[in-house]
Amino acid sequence: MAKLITYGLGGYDQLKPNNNIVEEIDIPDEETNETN
Amino acid sequence: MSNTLTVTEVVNSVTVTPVNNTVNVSGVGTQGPSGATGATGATGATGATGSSGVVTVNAPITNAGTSSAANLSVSTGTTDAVGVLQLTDSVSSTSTTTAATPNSVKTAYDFANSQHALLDPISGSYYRTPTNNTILTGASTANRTYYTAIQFSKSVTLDRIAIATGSNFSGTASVRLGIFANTNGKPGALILDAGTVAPSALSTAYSITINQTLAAGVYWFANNTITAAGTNTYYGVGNNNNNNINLFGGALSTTPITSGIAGFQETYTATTAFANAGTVSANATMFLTFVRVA
Repeated sequence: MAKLITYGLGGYDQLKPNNNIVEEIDIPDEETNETN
Repeated sequence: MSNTLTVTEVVNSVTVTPVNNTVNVSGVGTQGPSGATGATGATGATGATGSSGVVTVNAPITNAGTSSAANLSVSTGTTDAVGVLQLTDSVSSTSTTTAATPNSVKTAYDFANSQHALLDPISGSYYRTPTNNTILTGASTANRTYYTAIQFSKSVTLDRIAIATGSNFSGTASVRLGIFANTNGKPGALILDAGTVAPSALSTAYSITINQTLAAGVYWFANNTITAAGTNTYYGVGNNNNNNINLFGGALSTTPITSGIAGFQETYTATTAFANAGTVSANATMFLTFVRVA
Protein backbone atom coordinates (compact mmCIF):
# COMPACT_ATOMS: atom_id res chain seq x y z
CA MET A 1 0.00 0.00 0.00
CA ALA A 2 1.41 3.33 -1.00
CA LYS A 3 -1.04 5.90 0.21
CA LEU A 4 -4.15 6.47 2.31
CA ILE A 5 -6.59 9.03 0.97
CA THR A 6 -9.40 10.15 3.26
CA TYR A 7 -12.56 11.95 2.24
CA GLY A 8 -14.69 14.02 4.57
CA LEU A 9 -18.23 13.07 5.60
CA GLY A 10 -20.27 12.06 2.56
CA GLY A 11 -17.29 10.92 0.52
CA TYR A 12 -16.37 12.18 -2.93
CA ASP A 13 -17.95 15.56 -3.70
CA GLN A 14 -16.84 17.48 -6.75
CA LEU A 15 -18.49 20.63 -5.40
CA LYS A 16 -16.16 20.76 -2.42
CA PRO A 17 -12.50 21.76 -2.40
CA ASN A 18 -10.21 18.94 -3.55
CA ASN A 19 -13.31 16.79 -4.15
CA ASN A 20 -13.78 16.60 -0.36
CA ILE A 21 -10.44 14.89 0.20
CA VAL A 22 -9.36 15.97 3.66
CA GLU A 23 -6.14 14.00 4.09
CA GLU A 24 -3.51 12.19 2.02
CA ILE A 25 -0.77 10.31 3.81
CA ASP A 26 1.95 7.96 2.61
CA ILE A 27 2.06 4.53 4.19
CA PRO A 28 5.46 3.00 4.95
CA ASP A 29 6.14 -0.25 3.05
CA GLU A 30 6.59 -2.25 6.26
CA GLU A 31 2.95 -1.65 7.14
CA THR A 32 1.72 -3.48 4.07
CA ASN A 33 1.77 -7.20 3.42
CA GLU A 34 0.33 -7.68 -0.01
CA THR A 35 1.50 -11.11 -1.15
CA ASN A 36 0.54 -11.23 -4.76
CA MET B 1 -125.07 128.79 17.69
CA SER B 2 -124.50 127.37 20.82
CA ASN B 3 -122.68 124.07 21.16
CA THR B 4 -123.48 121.87 24.04
CA LEU B 5 -121.01 119.21 25.28
CA THR B 6 -122.52 116.42 27.19
CA VAL B 7 -120.15 114.21 29.27
CA THR B 8 -121.43 110.89 30.26
CA GLU B 9 -119.66 109.13 33.11
CA VAL B 10 -118.67 105.59 32.28
CA VAL B 11 -118.02 103.34 35.13
CA ASN B 12 -115.95 100.27 34.25
CA SER B 13 -116.52 97.37 36.52
CA VAL B 14 -114.07 94.35 36.92
CA THR B 15 -115.31 91.23 38.49
CA VAL B 16 -112.63 88.74 39.90
CA THR B 17 -113.73 85.21 40.40
CA PRO B 18 -111.40 83.02 42.52
CA VAL B 19 -110.40 79.60 41.07
CA ASN B 20 -109.29 76.74 43.30
CA ASN B 21 -106.83 74.35 41.56
CA THR B 22 -106.72 70.81 42.95
CA VAL B 23 -103.65 68.39 42.50
CA ASN B 24 -104.33 64.72 43.04
CA VAL B 25 -101.17 62.47 43.75
CA SER B 26 -101.58 58.71 43.26
CA GLY B 27 -99.23 55.54 42.94
CA VAL B 28 -96.55 53.77 45.22
CA GLY B 29 -92.82 54.71 45.57
CA THR B 30 -89.79 52.24 44.94
CA GLN B 31 -88.96 49.61 47.55
CA GLY B 32 -86.24 50.43 50.01
CA PRO B 33 -82.89 48.29 50.45
CA SER B 34 -82.81 44.89 52.26
CA GLY B 35 -82.12 44.86 55.89
CA ALA B 36 -78.89 43.33 57.50
CA THR B 37 -78.49 39.47 57.88
CA GLY B 38 -79.84 38.12 61.05
CA ALA B 39 -77.77 36.16 63.71
CA THR B 40 -76.89 32.40 63.27
CA GLY B 41 -79.41 30.02 64.61
CA ALA B 42 -78.71 27.43 67.31
CA THR B 43 -76.95 24.03 66.51
CA GLY B 44 -79.29 21.24 65.65
CA ALA B 45 -79.48 17.91 67.51
CA THR B 46 -76.97 15.00 66.81
CA GLY B 47 -78.14 12.50 64.19
CA ALA B 48 -78.63 8.79 64.75
CA THR B 49 -75.55 6.40 64.65
CA GLY B 50 -74.90 4.88 61.21
CA SER B 51 -74.54 1.14 60.43
CA SER B 52 -71.09 -0.60 60.77
CA GLY B 53 -68.62 -0.47 57.75
CA VAL B 54 -67.72 -3.55 55.63
CA VAL B 55 -64.14 -4.32 54.46
CA THR B 56 -63.68 -6.07 51.12
CA VAL B 57 -60.15 -7.17 50.08
CA ASN B 58 -58.53 -8.49 46.91
CA ALA B 59 -55.37 -10.60 46.46
CA PRO B 60 -52.60 -10.30 47.43
CA ILE B 61 -54.22 -8.59 50.45
CA THR B 62 -55.88 -11.00 52.86
CA ASN B 63 -58.17 -10.37 55.83
CA ALA B 64 -57.73 -12.58 58.91
CA GLY B 65 -60.49 -10.71 60.74
CA THR B 66 -64.04 -10.07 59.76
CA SER B 67 -65.61 -7.74 57.31
CA SER B 68 -66.38 -5.37 60.14
CA ALA B 69 -63.24 -5.92 62.22
CA ALA B 70 -60.50 -6.36 59.63
CA ASN B 71 -56.99 -7.77 60.20
CA LEU B 72 -55.23 -7.22 56.91
CA SER B 73 -51.93 -8.62 55.54
CA VAL B 74 -50.26 -9.10 52.13
CA SER B 75 -49.66 -12.62 50.86
CA THR B 76 -46.16 -13.81 49.96
CA GLY B 77 -45.56 -13.91 46.25
CA THR B 78 -44.80 -17.13 44.41
CA THR B 79 -44.20 -18.04 40.78
CA ASP B 80 -47.94 -18.63 40.57
CA ALA B 81 -49.33 -15.66 42.48
CA VAL B 82 -48.48 -12.03 42.97
CA GLY B 83 -47.48 -10.89 46.45
CA VAL B 84 -44.83 -9.38 48.64
CA LEU B 85 -41.26 -10.69 48.17
CA GLN B 86 -38.15 -10.72 50.28
CA LEU B 87 -35.10 -9.21 48.53
CA THR B 88 -31.97 -11.33 48.19
CA ASP B 89 -28.63 -9.63 47.59
CA SER B 90 -26.84 -12.48 45.89
CA VAL B 91 -25.61 -13.66 42.49
CA SER B 92 -25.53 -17.32 43.59
CA SER B 93 -28.94 -17.77 45.19
CA THR B 94 -31.21 -20.36 43.57
CA SER B 95 -34.33 -19.13 45.33
CA THR B 96 -37.53 -19.08 43.33
CA THR B 97 -39.50 -17.17 45.93
CA THR B 98 -37.36 -14.06 46.53
CA ALA B 99 -36.37 -11.15 44.35
CA ALA B 100 -32.90 -9.93 43.34
CA THR B 101 -31.61 -6.61 44.58
CA PRO B 102 -30.45 -4.03 42.04
CA ASN B 103 -26.95 -4.63 43.38
CA SER B 104 -27.02 -8.32 42.53
CA VAL B 105 -28.40 -7.52 39.07
CA LYS B 106 -25.56 -5.06 38.47
CA THR B 107 -22.98 -7.56 39.65
CA ALA B 108 -24.29 -10.10 37.17
CA TYR B 109 -24.45 -7.50 34.39
CA ASP B 110 -20.91 -6.31 34.97
CA PHE B 111 -19.63 -9.87 34.82
CA ALA B 112 -21.52 -10.65 31.62
CA ASN B 113 -20.35 -7.41 30.04
CA SER B 114 -16.73 -8.34 30.71
CA GLN B 115 -16.99 -11.76 29.06
CA HIS B 116 -16.36 -11.12 25.37
CA ALA B 117 -15.98 -14.02 23.00
CA LEU B 118 -13.91 -11.73 20.80
CA LEU B 119 -11.13 -9.32 21.54
CA ASP B 120 -12.28 -5.80 22.21
CA PRO B 121 -12.00 -3.47 19.23
CA ILE B 122 -8.98 -1.17 19.42
CA SER B 123 -9.27 2.54 18.83
CA GLY B 124 -7.52 3.71 15.67
CA SER B 125 -7.34 0.23 14.09
CA TYR B 126 -8.80 -0.81 10.77
CA TYR B 127 -10.79 -4.06 10.67
CA ARG B 128 -11.99 -6.33 7.87
CA THR B 129 -13.83 -9.63 7.73
CA PRO B 130 -11.78 -12.34 9.43
CA THR B 131 -10.35 -14.94 7.06
CA ASN B 132 -7.18 -16.92 6.80
CA ASN B 133 -7.38 -16.86 3.05
CA THR B 134 -4.65 -15.13 1.09
CA ILE B 135 -5.29 -11.47 0.61
CA LEU B 136 -5.08 -10.82 -3.09
CA THR B 137 -6.07 -8.22 -5.57
CA GLY B 138 -8.55 -8.89 -8.33
CA ALA B 139 -10.98 -7.18 -10.66
CA SER B 140 -14.21 -6.07 -9.04
CA THR B 141 -17.32 -6.38 -11.19
CA ALA B 142 -19.30 -3.20 -11.71
CA ASN B 143 -22.85 -2.97 -10.37
CA ARG B 144 -22.21 -5.72 -7.86
CA THR B 145 -22.28 -5.22 -4.11
CA TYR B 146 -19.76 -7.25 -2.14
CA TYR B 147 -20.79 -7.81 1.48
CA THR B 148 -18.27 -9.01 4.07
CA ALA B 149 -19.04 -9.43 7.77
CA ILE B 150 -17.35 -8.22 10.93
CA GLN B 151 -18.45 -9.08 14.45
CA PHE B 152 -17.89 -6.59 17.25
CA SER B 153 -17.76 -7.85 20.81
CA LYS B 154 -19.24 -4.66 22.23
CA SER B 155 -20.69 -1.35 21.14
CA VAL B 156 -18.30 0.47 18.86
CA THR B 157 -18.12 3.77 17.00
CA LEU B 158 -16.57 3.68 13.54
CA ASP B 159 -14.92 6.76 12.03
CA ARG B 160 -13.69 5.45 8.65
CA ILE B 161 -14.85 3.06 5.95
CA ALA B 162 -12.48 2.17 3.14
CA ILE B 163 -11.41 0.04 0.22
CA ALA B 164 -7.93 -0.42 -1.22
CA THR B 165 -6.88 -0.61 -4.84
CA GLY B 166 -4.60 -3.34 -6.16
CA SER B 167 -1.04 -2.95 -7.33
CA ASN B 168 -2.04 -2.95 -11.00
CA PHE B 169 -5.01 -0.58 -10.74
CA SER B 170 -5.32 2.01 -13.52
CA GLY B 171 -7.89 4.57 -14.57
CA THR B 172 -10.55 6.13 -12.40
CA ALA B 173 -13.46 4.41 -10.71
CA SER B 174 -16.44 5.35 -8.58
CA VAL B 175 -17.14 3.04 -5.67
CA ARG B 176 -19.92 3.33 -3.08
CA LEU B 177 -19.35 2.15 0.50
CA GLY B 178 -21.92 1.25 3.14
CA ILE B 179 -22.91 -0.67 6.26
CA PHE B 180 -25.78 -3.13 6.53
CA ALA B 181 -27.50 -4.94 9.38
CA ASN B 182 -27.29 -8.69 9.77
CA THR B 183 -30.60 -10.48 9.24
CA ASN B 184 -30.70 -14.23 9.71
CA GLY B 185 -27.07 -14.60 8.70
CA LYS B 186 -27.26 -12.39 5.62
CA PRO B 187 -27.04 -8.68 4.77
CA GLY B 188 -30.29 -6.93 5.65
CA ALA B 189 -31.35 -3.34 6.22
CA LEU B 190 -29.11 -0.48 5.18
CA ILE B 191 -27.54 1.24 8.19
CA LEU B 192 -25.25 3.74 6.50
CA ASP B 193 -24.63 4.86 2.95
CA ALA B 194 -21.23 6.49 3.42
CA GLY B 195 -21.05 7.94 -0.10
CA THR B 196 -18.51 7.22 -2.80
CA VAL B 197 -14.78 7.31 -3.34
CA ALA B 198 -13.05 7.94 -6.65
CA PRO B 199 -10.04 5.61 -6.84
CA SER B 200 -7.46 6.73 -9.40
CA ALA B 201 -4.18 5.33 -8.08
CA LEU B 202 -2.82 1.85 -7.52
CA SER B 203 -2.01 0.42 -4.09
CA THR B 204 -3.96 3.15 -2.38
CA ALA B 205 -6.58 2.98 0.34
CA TYR B 206 -9.60 5.25 -0.16
CA SER B 207 -11.36 6.07 3.06
CA ILE B 208 -14.53 8.04 3.91
CA THR B 209 -14.98 9.80 7.24
CA ILE B 210 -18.04 8.45 9.06
CA ASN B 211 -19.50 8.64 12.57
CA GLN B 212 -21.41 5.41 13.03
CA THR B 213 -22.06 3.76 16.37
CA LEU B 214 -23.00 0.08 16.29
CA ALA B 215 -24.16 -2.12 19.12
CA ALA B 216 -22.30 -5.38 19.71
CA GLY B 217 -23.06 -7.86 16.96
CA VAL B 218 -22.44 -8.83 13.35
CA TYR B 219 -22.62 -6.28 10.54
CA TRP B 220 -22.06 -6.38 6.80
CA PHE B 221 -19.69 -3.91 5.18
CA ALA B 222 -20.18 -3.33 1.50
CA ASN B 223 -18.57 -1.88 -1.60
CA ASN B 224 -20.11 -1.47 -5.02
CA THR B 225 -18.29 -0.35 -8.14
CA ILE B 226 -20.58 2.15 -9.86
CA THR B 227 -18.07 3.00 -12.58
CA ALA B 228 -15.17 0.63 -13.16
CA ALA B 229 -11.65 1.83 -13.81
CA GLY B 230 -9.71 0.49 -16.79
CA THR B 231 -8.09 -2.04 -14.47
CA ASN B 232 -10.50 -2.11 -11.57
CA THR B 233 -8.61 -4.18 -9.01
CA TYR B 234 -9.02 -4.13 -5.23
CA TYR B 235 -7.89 -6.02 -2.19
CA GLY B 236 -9.96 -9.12 -1.63
CA VAL B 237 -10.00 -12.83 -0.89
CA GLY B 238 -10.96 -15.85 -2.89
CA ASN B 239 -8.19 -17.54 -4.86
CA ASN B 240 -7.89 -20.42 -2.43
CA ASN B 241 -11.35 -20.67 -1.03
CA ASN B 242 -10.99 -24.15 0.48
CA ASN B 243 -8.94 -22.43 3.16
CA ASN B 244 -11.52 -19.75 3.66
CA ILE B 245 -12.07 -20.05 7.40
CA ASN B 246 -14.19 -17.08 8.27
CA LEU B 247 -16.91 -15.68 10.44
CA PHE B 248 -19.28 -18.40 9.27
CA GLY B 249 -17.05 -21.20 10.53
CA GLY B 250 -15.94 -22.18 7.06
CA ALA B 251 -18.16 -23.42 4.28
CA LEU B 252 -21.68 -22.19 3.69
CA SER B 253 -23.28 -24.84 1.57
CA THR B 254 -25.98 -27.50 1.57
CA THR B 255 -23.26 -30.12 1.08
CA PRO B 256 -20.52 -30.84 3.61
CA ILE B 257 -17.51 -30.75 1.29
CA THR B 258 -17.39 -27.51 -0.58
CA SER B 259 -15.52 -24.29 -0.91
CA GLY B 260 -15.67 -21.86 1.93
CA ILE B 261 -17.17 -18.49 1.28
CA ALA B 262 -15.98 -15.03 2.10
CA GLY B 263 -19.29 -13.20 1.99
CA PHE B 264 -22.34 -12.43 -0.10
CA GLN B 265 -22.78 -10.55 -3.34
CA GLU B 266 -25.73 -8.89 -5.02
CA THR B 267 -26.28 -7.38 -8.44
CA TYR B 268 -27.22 -3.78 -7.76
CA THR B 269 -26.84 -0.41 -9.45
CA ALA B 270 -25.67 1.97 -6.73
CA THR B 271 -25.45 5.11 -8.86
CA THR B 272 -27.73 7.11 -6.57
CA ALA B 273 -27.57 5.30 -3.24
CA PHE B 274 -27.63 1.96 -1.51
CA ALA B 275 -30.97 0.40 -0.61
CA ASN B 276 -31.64 -2.42 1.80
CA ALA B 277 -29.95 -5.64 0.72
CA GLY B 278 -32.05 -7.72 -1.64
CA THR B 279 -31.42 -11.21 -2.94
CA VAL B 280 -27.82 -12.12 -2.20
CA SER B 281 -25.71 -15.15 -3.03
CA ALA B 282 -22.73 -16.58 -1.20
CA ASN B 283 -19.40 -16.35 -2.91
CA ALA B 284 -15.78 -17.24 -2.24
CA THR B 285 -14.39 -14.16 -3.95
CA MET B 286 -15.01 -10.93 -2.08
CA PHE B 287 -13.50 -7.49 -2.30
CA LEU B 288 -12.89 -6.21 1.16
CA THR B 289 -14.43 -3.24 2.89
CA PHE B 290 -12.43 -1.96 5.86
CA VAL B 291 -13.64 0.07 8.83
CA ARG B 292 -11.71 1.93 11.49
CA VAL B 293 -12.66 2.05 15.16
CA ALA B 294 -12.79 5.58 16.56
